[in-house]
Amino acid sequence: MPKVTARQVLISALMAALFAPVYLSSGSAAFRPAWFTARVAILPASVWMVLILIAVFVLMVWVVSGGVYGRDDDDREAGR
Amino acid sequence: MNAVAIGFFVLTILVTLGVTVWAARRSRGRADYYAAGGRLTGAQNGLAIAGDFMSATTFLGITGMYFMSGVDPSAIYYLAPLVGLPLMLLWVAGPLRRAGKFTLGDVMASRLRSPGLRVFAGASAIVISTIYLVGQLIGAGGLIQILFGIGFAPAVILVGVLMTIYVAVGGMIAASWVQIIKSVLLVSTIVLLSAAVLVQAGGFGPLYARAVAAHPLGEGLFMPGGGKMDLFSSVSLAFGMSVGILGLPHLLIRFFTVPDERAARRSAVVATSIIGFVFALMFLVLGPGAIAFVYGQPRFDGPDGLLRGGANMASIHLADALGGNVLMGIAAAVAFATILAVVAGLVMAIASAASHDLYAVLSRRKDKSEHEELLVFRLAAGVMAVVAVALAFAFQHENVAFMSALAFAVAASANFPVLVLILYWPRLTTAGALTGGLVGLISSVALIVIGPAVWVKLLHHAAPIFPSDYPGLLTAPLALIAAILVSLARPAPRMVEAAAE
Repeated sequence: MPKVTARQVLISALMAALFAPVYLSSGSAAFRPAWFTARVAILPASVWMVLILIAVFVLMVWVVSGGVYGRDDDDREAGR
Repeated sequence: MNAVAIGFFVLTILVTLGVTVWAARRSRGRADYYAAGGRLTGAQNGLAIAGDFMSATTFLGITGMYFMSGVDPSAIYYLAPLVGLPLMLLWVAGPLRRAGKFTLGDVMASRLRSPGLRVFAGASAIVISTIYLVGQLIGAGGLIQILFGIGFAPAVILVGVLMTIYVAVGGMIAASWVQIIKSVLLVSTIVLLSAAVLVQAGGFGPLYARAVAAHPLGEGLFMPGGGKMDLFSSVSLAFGMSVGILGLPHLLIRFFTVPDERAARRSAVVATSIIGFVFALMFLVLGPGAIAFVYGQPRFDGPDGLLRGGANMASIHLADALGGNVLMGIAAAVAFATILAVVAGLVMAIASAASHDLYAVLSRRKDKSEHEELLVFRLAAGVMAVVAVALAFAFQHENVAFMSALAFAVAASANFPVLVLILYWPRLTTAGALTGGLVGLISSVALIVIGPAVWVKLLHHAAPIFPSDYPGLLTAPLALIAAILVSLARPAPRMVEAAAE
């Protein structure tokens, strides 16, 4: 059985934080804190989209290049 | 009727049937029919997963949503796979490939050898995939009606017959290659349309200026806050759409088609990259392009002054505006190929769960052969196609988006918590897993029924009992807690020993 690693939890938390501005800003303005509207929701959504895409790809490359599971496990699995 | 569209429509059917015949010749036993022999590469499987996720609803529906109200709430639908698939890569892809063989029932049985849990896995796969399939068929019937001028009933029956042939004759090899071909076609078409938008608009700046001038929302098109949802609903919708991906059986069984964990992880990366690229083009170019070139143009409006065929047709009208009949014919045919590939993947998930999980447990005969199980697989594909077509007729006037939301909510609440606990928590018991799955299933369906979409709009009550249409943020944690509490309260003897060790 695989063990939950600190890196898995950390990356998942990072993902949640990364997407939070878009999710929070999608609701009605009446439910958003004033600081959020003033400091975060002023960015156009397309800017968020590009930032998130870049961040997601960096995280994924890190994960598959051994950053989370380690090269040894992967190589053993692949018979190398 | 558009002759180019009809030509591509016929070509799509011929090519996909040719792939099915080729796949049938390569398929020998259960491993081929259920999991393409585990021979797909990470890149091929990634294309197939991306294809499974990019349904006609995605291609046409999300651009239509952008066409109506700008980035919000379409941003949630765009971004959900960019959350869900990396989470799948981090938590599920590798362990799932290691634990499973053909179905989710295999994964559950690998930890807890309970026939009841295998039946639950099979039943939940069938329920979730059938809800999703019926929604896709209703959408497909409506779209084919608009795209090719064929009536709703013949359109749905045609799709039902084709999806049965793909799965029953060609199994997972056919379903995968039809999906791969469709993904390549869809990505190429979206790149082509995006290039045409940017060339004809003169770049991003002029495109956005033109969209702002054409739409009543003006610059509000590009700013968040237009979702008109309360905070709970927007976060819960995003949560359900994201983790629902981790519970959708037709996506999860794709990880059994690759040889090892490394390839499974690569699949998730390739799928996320393709979906991210395509969605970025739709979000940054096609959505604004549809507004700039189609919004308010009288030739695309019907007699009622609204867009002909509804907002879902915005992409098709955009193709018409940019490249006339030829580009519109290509876009329509790709939408049709998209429909065929997605429903084939769903029937694959249903038929394999019926034959490998349900029949294997519920049939009392012990001398069941592989040949017999494959016969049940083919029969299940045919029977479920008939059932799904009948349900599509019965519910053809229901809201398709609601049915998709229901499938995602059930997947996020019933499958996802149990799957994660099975993969990562050694103290989970059979009773805990079953309780968690049932609590997730019942609570998600119940809260959707008493929410605004069903309780008020469908059943015509004055006010909803539960204030949101998106219960995932409540029901998924509820299922997780129920599974943990029952497992801790009644630990199985083996688990107690294992924990002591």
